[in-house]
Amino acid sequence: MNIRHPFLRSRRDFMRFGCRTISTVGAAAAFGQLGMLPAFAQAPPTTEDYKALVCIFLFGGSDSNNVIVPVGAGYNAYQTVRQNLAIPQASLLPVTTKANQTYGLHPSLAALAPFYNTDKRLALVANVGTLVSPTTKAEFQTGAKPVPINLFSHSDQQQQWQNAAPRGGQTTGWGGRIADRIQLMNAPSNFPASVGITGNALQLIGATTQPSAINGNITLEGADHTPASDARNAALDQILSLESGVTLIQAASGALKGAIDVAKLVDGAVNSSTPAITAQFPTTELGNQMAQVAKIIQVRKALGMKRQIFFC
Amino acid sequence: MKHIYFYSTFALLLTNSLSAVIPAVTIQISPTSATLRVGQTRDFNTYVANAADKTVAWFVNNIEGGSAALGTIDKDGIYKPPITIPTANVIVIKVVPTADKTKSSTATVTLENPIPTFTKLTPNQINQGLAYSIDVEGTNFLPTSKVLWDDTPITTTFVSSTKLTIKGLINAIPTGGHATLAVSNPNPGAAKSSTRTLSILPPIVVTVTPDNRSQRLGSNLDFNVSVTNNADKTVDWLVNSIKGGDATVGKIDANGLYTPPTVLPANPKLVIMAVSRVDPKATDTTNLSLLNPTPTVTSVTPNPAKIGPIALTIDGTGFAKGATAEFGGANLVVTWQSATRLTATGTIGAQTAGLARLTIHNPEPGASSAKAFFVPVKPNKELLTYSNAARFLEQATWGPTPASIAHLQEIGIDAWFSEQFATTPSTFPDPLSMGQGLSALQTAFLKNALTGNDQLRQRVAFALGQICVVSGNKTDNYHEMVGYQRMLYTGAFGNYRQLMRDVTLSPTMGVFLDMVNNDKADPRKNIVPNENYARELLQLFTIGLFELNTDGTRKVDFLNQPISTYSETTVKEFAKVFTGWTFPSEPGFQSKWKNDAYYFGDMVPFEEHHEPSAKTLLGGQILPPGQTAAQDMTAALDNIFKHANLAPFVSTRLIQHLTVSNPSAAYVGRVAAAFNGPVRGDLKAVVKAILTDVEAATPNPSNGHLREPVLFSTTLLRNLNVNVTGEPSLARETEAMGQKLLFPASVFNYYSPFYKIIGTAVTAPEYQILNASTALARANFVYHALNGRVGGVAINLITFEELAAYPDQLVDAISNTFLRGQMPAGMKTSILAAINGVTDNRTRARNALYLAGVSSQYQVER
Repeated sequence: MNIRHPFLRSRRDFMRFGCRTISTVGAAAAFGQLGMLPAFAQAPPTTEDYKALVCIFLFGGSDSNNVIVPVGAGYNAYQTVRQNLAIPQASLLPVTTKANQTYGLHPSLAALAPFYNTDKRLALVANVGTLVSPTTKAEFQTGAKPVPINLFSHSDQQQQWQNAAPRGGQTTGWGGRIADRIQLMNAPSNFPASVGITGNALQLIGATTQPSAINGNITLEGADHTPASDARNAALDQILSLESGVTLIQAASGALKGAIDVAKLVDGAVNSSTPAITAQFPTTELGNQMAQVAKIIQVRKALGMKRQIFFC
Repeated sequence: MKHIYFYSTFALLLTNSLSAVIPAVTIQISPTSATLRVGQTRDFNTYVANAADKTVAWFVNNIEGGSAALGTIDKDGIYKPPITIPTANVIVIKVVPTADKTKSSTATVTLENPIPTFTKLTPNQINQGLAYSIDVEGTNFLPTSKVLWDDTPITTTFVSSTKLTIKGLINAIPTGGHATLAVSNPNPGAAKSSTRTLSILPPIVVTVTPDNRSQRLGSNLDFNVSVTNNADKTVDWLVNSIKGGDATVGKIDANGLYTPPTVLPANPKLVIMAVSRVDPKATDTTNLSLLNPTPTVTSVTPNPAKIGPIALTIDGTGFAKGATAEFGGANLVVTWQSATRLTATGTIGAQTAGLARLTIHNPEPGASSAKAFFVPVKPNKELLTYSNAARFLEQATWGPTPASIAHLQEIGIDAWFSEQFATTPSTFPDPLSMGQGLSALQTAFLKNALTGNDQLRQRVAFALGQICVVSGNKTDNYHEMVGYQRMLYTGAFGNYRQLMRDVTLSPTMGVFLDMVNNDKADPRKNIVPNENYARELLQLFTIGLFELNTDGTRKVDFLNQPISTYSETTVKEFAKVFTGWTFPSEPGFQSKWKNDAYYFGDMVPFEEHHEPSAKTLLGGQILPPGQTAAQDMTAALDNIFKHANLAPFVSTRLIQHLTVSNPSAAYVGRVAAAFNGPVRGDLKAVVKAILTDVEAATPNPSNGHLREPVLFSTTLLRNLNVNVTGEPSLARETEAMGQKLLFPASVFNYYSPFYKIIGTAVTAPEYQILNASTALARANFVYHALNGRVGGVAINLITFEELAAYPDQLVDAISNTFLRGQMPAGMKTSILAAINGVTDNRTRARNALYLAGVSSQYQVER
C-alpha cells in the first residue's frame, strides 16, 4: 500500500519503535473493549439508520511515536530515546486531553488538530499493538509469555493487525468477521457489506461474507446493450458459469462474475437520482481512496445499505 | 347429262312427226360460240337428229378430245381451256355424230386470260432507301402478269400462277407513306386484281443496349436490341466486326448474350455491333470494356504448407495474367499458367492460428482480389506437439507467438535452451535526463518483453525481480532504476550467489532498504545499524523464516511447530555486516562518505563507517572483528548461500513465477537438487529443471497459475502475433489490473507467495491482486487490445475476421491461438452462440476473441 505522506516515515521506524513499545492489547480486542461493535450494530434513535466504518491501515508506515509526543516534563525522555528522530518541541501542535494532559501532535497533522481540540470528534487510541495476552516488558524479555509469531517480520505483523490472530491460524480478518455479523442488516441488498478500496484485504475476509474491491472505475467496457454486446455478454455469463473442476479457474470466474454483478449494482446506484458529491478531495493516493469511499456512501440508499465497512 | 336427256326427248318427238320421210342425219352444237377464261370450263351440248345412234365425237381444232395446248374436251362436251392461251386464241369445237361422220357442227370459243386475284403481300412494309423484294401472292397469275404500283405497271417476275415478285428501291417516302399495289393480266381478256396497300417506312433503326458497359471476365452480359420500322427484328451480332465473336474477344449468340473470353484480350476495349438482317446498313455499336475476372481459389498444393521456402500450385478460376499472390502476409513470385492455375514460389513463416491466408490479386483493368483461402502451415519437424510447445512457451516466455511455437517444434527443447542461453540480452536505453520518470523504463521493459529474442532471460529476470524486490515507490526516476533492471537481465542466467552480491551492492536496493549510508552503531545516540536490508535479505531474498527440507516442506520441532531459521538477534548481527556503504561516486567527483545519490555502479565502502565488531551469523559462524566492509559482506553472503534453505526457498519462488503456484514437494525437491549441484546456485540449471519437469508439462486440476497482469497482457498480444509499432502503452493497463510495473507495493512484492484463494487451501499468489476492479480491468484490457486501444502495438485480426463466416473454424482458430487447441466444449458452444448472434464478421471475430481472452480458462495458465 505504501502511502507516502509527510508525517509517515519508513516502515523501519514503525518496526523499531512502534512494535517494541506495545503495551496494551490487540487490535480486535481493543475494538471490542471500546464497545465499538455494539455501537456499530446498534440503530440510532433517530435519523437514517446508516453507519460506515472506514479503516485506514498504513501497513506499518506510521512512526506512531512521532504522532503524539509528550510535551513538557515528558519531552526530555522522548528526546533521549529518539535522538536525531525527535521532533523539536516548538513545532509540535498542542492537544489537551479531557484529563487536562497536554501532548503534541506531529506538525504534519495540523488539519487533524481542530477535530480534536475544537470539534471534539477525534479519538486517539494510543499504544495499541499485537499481543497474545497482556505482557510486561520483563515477561517479554525473559520469554515468560508467548508473543506473536514472527514478531519482527513486517509481513506477518501486517497480517496480524488485520486478522487479530497473533498466533496465526486465522484465515479471516476482524472486519470480515464483523461483516459476517452485520450482513443481515443490509438485506435484501446484494451489495457486499465490506469493500476494499485498494485491493484484497485480509482484514475484510469473513467466514460467510466476501468483500468486494472497488478502486476507480468499476465498469465492464463495451457493455452498451447493442445486439453485439448483448450476444457477447450473454456468452460471457455462460463461460464464467462453466464448471471446470479447477479451483484456480473457478476462483477467477467467480471474481469476474462478482465484479460484473457489483458493477451493475454500482452503475444502477450511480444512475439513480442521488446527487453527486461536491466535496473536494485531495488528489493524493489517500485522497483518491477517500473520494472512492465517499462516492459509495453517497449512493448507499440506492444500494440498499445500512452498514458498511471500508478498508483503505 | 340432264341437258342431253332433255334434247333427246325433244328429238324423239321430232322423229315421230317426221316418220314418213327418212331424212338425213343432222347434228347441231350448242352454243355455237362462247368466250371462256382460262380456268373456266364450258359444257357444250349437241343434238343428233335422224339417227338412232346418238353418240358423237368431240374435236378441238380438229383434234379429237383436244390437246394440252388447245384445251381438252371430254365425251360429254365439257371443254377445259389450256393453262396458256394459244397464239390464236379463237379455237373451234367440233362435234361429229357417230351415225354419219360426214356431218358435223362447230362452235367457236374465244379464250381469254384469267382474272388475277391478289391475296397477300410479303412484306407489306418496306423501308426508304432499302432495296426491297416483295412477294405478291394470289391466283391466276400469268408470265405476262404485271404488278401495278399505284396503277403503273412495274417490272414483275413471274414465279408461278400464284406468286409474283417485284424488286426495287424507294428513295423517297411518298405522301401518305404507302403505295397501292394490284396485279393485271393482259389481253385477251385483260383484267386487274383488287388492290393491297404497301407501307413505305423510313429507314430501319437498330439500337443496342446497354451502352458503354464494363464487364468482368467470368460472367456473361446480355445485350438487347431494338429494331424499328421493320417487322423483321432479327439482327446479326458482331464482336470487333467478327460475326458471333470468337474465343479471343468473346462470343455473342443470336440473342445478344455475350460470353467473355477466359483470358483478357490484348486490347480489352471491344465494340459490339448489331446489324439488321434486312438492312446491313442498319447497325448500332456499343463499347464494351472487358475487366479482369474476380479470381477464386479452390485448391492449393501442397496443403498443409511447410514453413520455409514454398512452391505452390494454386487452382481456381479467373486468374488474370499479371495476377499477384500474397501468402501469410508475404508476396509470392507468381507464374501465370492459365485462367485456372497459377504457380508461385516464396517463403512462408509461422502464422496466427496456424493458418496462412492466400489472397490472389488480379491487376487492372478491374483489379480485384480473391476471397482469402486458408492453408494450414506446419513446421518442418514436430519434435513437440503444437500443444506441448505452446504450453512450454507460456511458462518460459512472455507468451507464445506463432513463430516461437513452430520454432520450438522444429528444434526441440534442448536446442531451444541452448539458443536462449546464447541469445544476446535485450538492453535498456540510457536515461535521457535525471528527471526522466519510470514510465519510459516500463515502456522499454514491455517493448523488450513483446519483441526481444531473449525471452527466457527476461522471464527469469522478471521472476528474480519479484524475489529481490525494489520499487519505484522509492526510486521513481529512470536513472535510479535502470541499473537494477540491467542487473536482473544479466543475473538471470548467472549464479544466485553473484545475484546476491549484485543486489546487495545495488544503489537502488541500497535506497530501497536503507543500506546506503547505513552507519555503524552509535551507542551514545542510541543508534544501531539499520536492519531493513539484513531482514529482507534473509526473509525474502534467500532463506525465509522457517527451516525447510530440501523439498520445500517445513521442518518441525518436537511440538510439531515450524522452526525459525534465525532470530531477531541474527538480523541485528547481519545488520552490522551491511554498514559502511555509500553511493558510488559520480565520475569526476571525489568519493566521500555519503556520496550524492548516483546509481551506476556498485555502492562503495567507507571503512570508518563499517561496524567493526564481530558478527555472529547463521549456524553460529562468527566473523572476526575488524574485517573490512567488503570482507564482511562476502563472508555473510557466503554464509547465507550455503544455508540448506536457499535451494528449496529460491526454487519454490521461481517455480511459482514460471510454472505452478502449488508445486508438489517432489517437484520442489527435483529443482532444489538442480540448484544444489553440480554448480550450486547455477540459475540456468535451475530454470531448465523447472521448465522441463514433468509437473510443469502435465496439467492437473490443482496446478497452474493465474497469469499476473504483465504476463497476461504480453501473452495475449504475443498470441495474436503483435507488431510493436511504437511505445507500447501497456503499463497503464497492467496498473489497472493491479500490477503497476516496477512499482510493487512494497518489498513484499505485488502479492505474497503464500496467498491462498479465500476459503480454500490452494496457494495462488496472483489472486491477491485479483478483485472486482482488477478482474474488470483484465476484461477491459482484452477489449482495448482487440479494438486498437492499446497504443504502440498493432495486432492484425484479419484472419479471424475472414474466418468469421465459418463459425466452427473461427472457434478452432481461437482455440489454437489462445488455448493450445484445447478449448472446452462448453466454452465453444457459448462462443458459437455469440458468433451466431451477430452477422458482421468484424464483430463476430472480436466477440469470439474477447470471450476466449476473458475466460478464466485463458486467464489461468495450466
